[in-house]
Amino acid sequence: MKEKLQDIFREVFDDETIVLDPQMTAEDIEAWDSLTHFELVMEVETAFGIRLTTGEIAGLESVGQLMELIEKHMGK
Amino acid sequence: MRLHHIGIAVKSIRRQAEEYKRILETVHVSEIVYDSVQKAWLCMIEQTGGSALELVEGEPVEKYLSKGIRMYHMCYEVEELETEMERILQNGGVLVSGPEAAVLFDGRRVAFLYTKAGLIELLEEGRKNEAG
Repeated sequence: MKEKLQDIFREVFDDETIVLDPQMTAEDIEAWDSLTHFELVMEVETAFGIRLTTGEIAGLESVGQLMELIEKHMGK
Repeated sequence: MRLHHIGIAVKSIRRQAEEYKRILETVHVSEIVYDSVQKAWLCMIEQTGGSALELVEGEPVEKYLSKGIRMYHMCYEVEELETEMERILQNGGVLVSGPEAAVLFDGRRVAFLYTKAGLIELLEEGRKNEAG
């Protein structure tokens, strides 16, 4: 899952050097802002076949959180 | 589902509204209103031919302006808001906000969704929000 998510991050933020770490936040990726945030969520939802809630999307601040949410929704 | 307006991010709504009035053939320019839900100042400009532009100033559009983006959302008027929302969500869209009553549209509800086609606003037809 991490590798798939990393591919999404590299694609959305147009940066092949991104190596995901659960501690990583928007502070660590320059292009991760309020606009690309929704693009990221959209790509994640499509790739993993899940749908995050509006609250989860708004509260999403780190890669680790996103990985937990993916696992949670895929486990349903 | 019909195109209702195009959203334009502006630094100064008052100055930009004057510019649009000078440059475009406008039939109506609304009052500038503050939408506390969107945390933005809004002004609707109706043009001859039936098209409309919504000028938006404030926090929600600052990031667009910093990237040089002016036209940033398309608004579609729909009969059944929830039905259209669900259709877009089923097709990969992400709900950004709403549905919420919009002060610029006399309490008619709007929802914003991020899609592969960009940011889309859905505006419910005619019916007013009973709660608002």
